[in-house]
Amino acid sequence: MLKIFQNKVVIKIAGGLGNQLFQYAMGRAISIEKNIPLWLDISFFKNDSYYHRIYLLNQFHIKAEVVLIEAYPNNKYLNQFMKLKKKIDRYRDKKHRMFLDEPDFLDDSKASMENYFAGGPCHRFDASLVSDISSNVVLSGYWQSEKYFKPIRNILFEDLTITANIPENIQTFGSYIQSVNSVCIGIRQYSDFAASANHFKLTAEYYEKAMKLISSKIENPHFFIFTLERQWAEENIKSDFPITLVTPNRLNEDAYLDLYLISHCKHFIIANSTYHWWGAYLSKNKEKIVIAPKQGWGNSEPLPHEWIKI
Amino acid sequence: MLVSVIIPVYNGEKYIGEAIESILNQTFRDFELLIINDCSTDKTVSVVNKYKDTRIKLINNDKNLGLAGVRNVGIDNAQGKYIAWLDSDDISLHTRLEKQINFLENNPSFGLCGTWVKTIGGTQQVWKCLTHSELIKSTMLFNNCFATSSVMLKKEILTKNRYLFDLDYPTAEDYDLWEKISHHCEVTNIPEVLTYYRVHTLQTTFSEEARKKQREFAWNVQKRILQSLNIFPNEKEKEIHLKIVPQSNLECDIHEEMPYIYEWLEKLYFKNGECKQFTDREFKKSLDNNLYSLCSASKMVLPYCHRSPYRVIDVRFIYRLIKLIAKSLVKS
Repeated sequence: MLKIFQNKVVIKIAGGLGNQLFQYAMGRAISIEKNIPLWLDISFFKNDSYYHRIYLLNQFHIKAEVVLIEAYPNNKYLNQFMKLKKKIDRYRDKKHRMFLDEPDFLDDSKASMENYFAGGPCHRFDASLVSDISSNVVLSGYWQSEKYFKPIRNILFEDLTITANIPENIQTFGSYIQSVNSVCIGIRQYSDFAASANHFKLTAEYYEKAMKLISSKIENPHFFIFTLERQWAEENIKSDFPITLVTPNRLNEDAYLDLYLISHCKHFIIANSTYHWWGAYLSKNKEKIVIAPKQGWGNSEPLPHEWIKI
Repeated sequence: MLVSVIIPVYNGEKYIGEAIESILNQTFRDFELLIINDCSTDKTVSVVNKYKDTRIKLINNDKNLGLAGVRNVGIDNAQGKYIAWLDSDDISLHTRLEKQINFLENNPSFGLCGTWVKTIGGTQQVWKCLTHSELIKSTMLFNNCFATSSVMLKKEILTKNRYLFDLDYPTAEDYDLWEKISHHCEVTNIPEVLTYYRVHTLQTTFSEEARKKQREFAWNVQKRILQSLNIFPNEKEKEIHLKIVPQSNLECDIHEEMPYIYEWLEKLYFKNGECKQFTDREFKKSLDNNLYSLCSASKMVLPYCHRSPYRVIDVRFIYRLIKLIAKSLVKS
């Protein structure tokens, strides 16, 4: 009960796995910087009836004190009481229509100008944000920039180890990828809106250029193409070196398996996808080469400076 | 197409980019973005044309129509089941569309929903807009409970009743339309900050002259509601009513005016009791809220609002009831 009043950082989790990881990393960075506990607000996933996205961070070794889906965390009785109260309210007055669906988050109702931050209108990187934040804060946004959490890079590597079950065939495939000079090629596809601003599909020229560049830097590359669009990849991506097509899992629940495989590659040619971004970022290869497109990100400074931008 | 987002713009080169990006970066992606250009004379068009996204549709007006007219052009061209509004200098947070659509789809009796708002640019505040449908309907008698940039509504309600923004109420056209809509469906605000509203001194609502005008237009809406309560206010009553309205910034010597304010609120309460326009409990609450904020604005919290006129009636009623029961008990 008293937890509600303590200092903390509440970060709102929304979107697919790539976005969720960025949001977690941001929250974790602030929680360490200010030495306050981290809360995750996952009410977004309660009724996502369109994309059926689900909360996926529980497949990782994350360290959050509370994962909020109801208004009063860790307090069964208070939650029950609130539900009962709402039922009585409804019964008492059949026309009594309030916003009953969402939990009324105390932190939102307490939020005032000092402690409510959104990811900046244009999702620009805002250096002052982390230092300005007071000790009790709600964060809502995408936070797609490494700069927010660069100091805690090593902690993040630890936190984002996968705890969910990894099937044996995936594990053996992973170690095979690790044993060769593997280059991950990520091709994103958007069946619904191909032409949206940040979600455009990269051209074949981009991949050709990137593959040439990487072939000149490493010996005997073996390309692994992660894509759902097998046909497009077979027609457009050609190389003298071996190519293996990997079809990712379509299910949201299994997204972590592909992240596992991608992060086992040694080098990367990624698309404008936060999901590929994290695959490349979490690779433990010290000499990794990452090639990423300049445009198509949701932030003004999305890429670490070591990465090659074309 | 599920939702049409409409951004009316007139000379908004400075902020329109942020507004467009805030929509393109939404977690919900199945929308069309209508940008209605009201003959801007600055670089607005070239800023909009920078965004290569097939979901954006730029419509250029032949002549300057004013805000209400431009918004109507948006309604005419909207294909979506829902219409979401955003002004060219405001910003939607990334989950706004998705949360509103999920709410409206899961609660079919609701036809209009806004969100909480944080102001940026000038003084920063969070506006915690009301969430209770009946309370909002009652409070509409005094002020607009929705920030236009946060509103999403069902298009069906507009087309069925042939509702458009009324050109006769400039600066209060949104208030007018939301009030009309609230007769046809439930309305609410999502209790979460999902919209940033930019305050700047150049805004039309800010100069004293413009304020006076807006008050007049808002009064026309309020007068309509009062008439539906069978009240035909005279000049004195109008003056009193406008003083009660929050943020009216009218000078009001509360000690002198209080008897009249009581009288007026009491009248409102009784008239509503007769014609049952609004639910009793919520109407009372909205009257109380206004009285309370009026008292606290003039730094006199307790003495008056705890003696609100219609509350006395309630106590009397209970007193009578107890007497009646006691009598019948004695008789038996």
